[in-house]
Amino acid sequence: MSGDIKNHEAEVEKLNRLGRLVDKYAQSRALGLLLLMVLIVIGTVLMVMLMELVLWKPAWWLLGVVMLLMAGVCIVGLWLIVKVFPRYERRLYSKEGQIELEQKKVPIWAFVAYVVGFLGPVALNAFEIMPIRWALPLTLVSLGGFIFYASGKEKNRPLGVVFCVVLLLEAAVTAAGVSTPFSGKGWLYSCFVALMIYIAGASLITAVVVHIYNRRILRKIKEVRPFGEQEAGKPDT
Amino acid sequence: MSKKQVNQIHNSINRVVHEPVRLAILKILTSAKEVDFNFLLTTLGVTKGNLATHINKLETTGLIEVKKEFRGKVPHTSYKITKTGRRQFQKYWENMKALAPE
Repeated sequence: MSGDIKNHEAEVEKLNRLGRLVDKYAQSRALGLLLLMVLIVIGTVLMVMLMELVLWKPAWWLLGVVMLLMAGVCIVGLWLIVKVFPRYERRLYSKEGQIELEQKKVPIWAFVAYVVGFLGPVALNAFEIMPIRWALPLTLVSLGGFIFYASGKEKNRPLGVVFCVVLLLEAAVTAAGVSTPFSGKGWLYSCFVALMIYIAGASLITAVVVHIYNRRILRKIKEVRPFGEQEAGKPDT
Repeated sequence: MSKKQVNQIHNSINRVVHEPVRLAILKILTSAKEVDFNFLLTTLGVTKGNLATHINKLETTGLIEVKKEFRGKVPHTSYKITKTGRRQFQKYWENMKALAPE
């Protein structure tokens, strides 16, 4: 057994690596999110196009249609997140199997800080107190910070890191004075629409990056797994 | 470390845990709340029969807990490490560290 133990060192190292990779792999499953994000991006683009139409040819009935569509996008989005997503998410990875990690609850103070940091600058901009150049970056930083913090608790770190980095980049670009899309044409075109476009874009980029990362980790797991393909019914030690 | 101490540690090593596939199963289960059969198959790369044998051994020794349920019409089996399993895994790790050459 002593020789066995000496050989065991390399085996232990492999095992530790496998443990780390499995953790990374389990935390970076974003296929469901990727599908959801495509829908949200399409919804956002449609909504912005319709808003454009309302401003171009103002009419009450057109405004009504836009409002209905916006409500539809919100309801479908909520339905997807609350009902469909949790139900079918498991099926997306059924071939590779399921893993559930220990999650912690995000404290209420973090939610409160996030809501204040997110909505405050949007409201200040809507009332023309704060220019979009500062309101938008503040909102993006608040959202990025919250997602980064929550992703640690919810065991979804890669997603939080990528999303936060993309949002911080967007915030930095806006604060540097690069012109913001769809802004400055009435209250609908204050911070709100630009923010929605930025968030939808950042979410889609994040979902794609995390999904690619997940595939890479799975490939590494297949390379590192220490046991190779074993014969069925091989006697147990 | 004296020869007597080394022998003592050798004797206290859990033979059920001291097997690469079972050790890997326990390692994965310690970092997760719940894992299913397919996940273990994907990550460990062993055959279904082999994995089932190792899981059975871990279950009969009380190191892991098996949960069987139906998801729609499809049967689904998932595994969880027990408190004993976690303790034994920890103890095994400590023993191996103690035996490792300086």
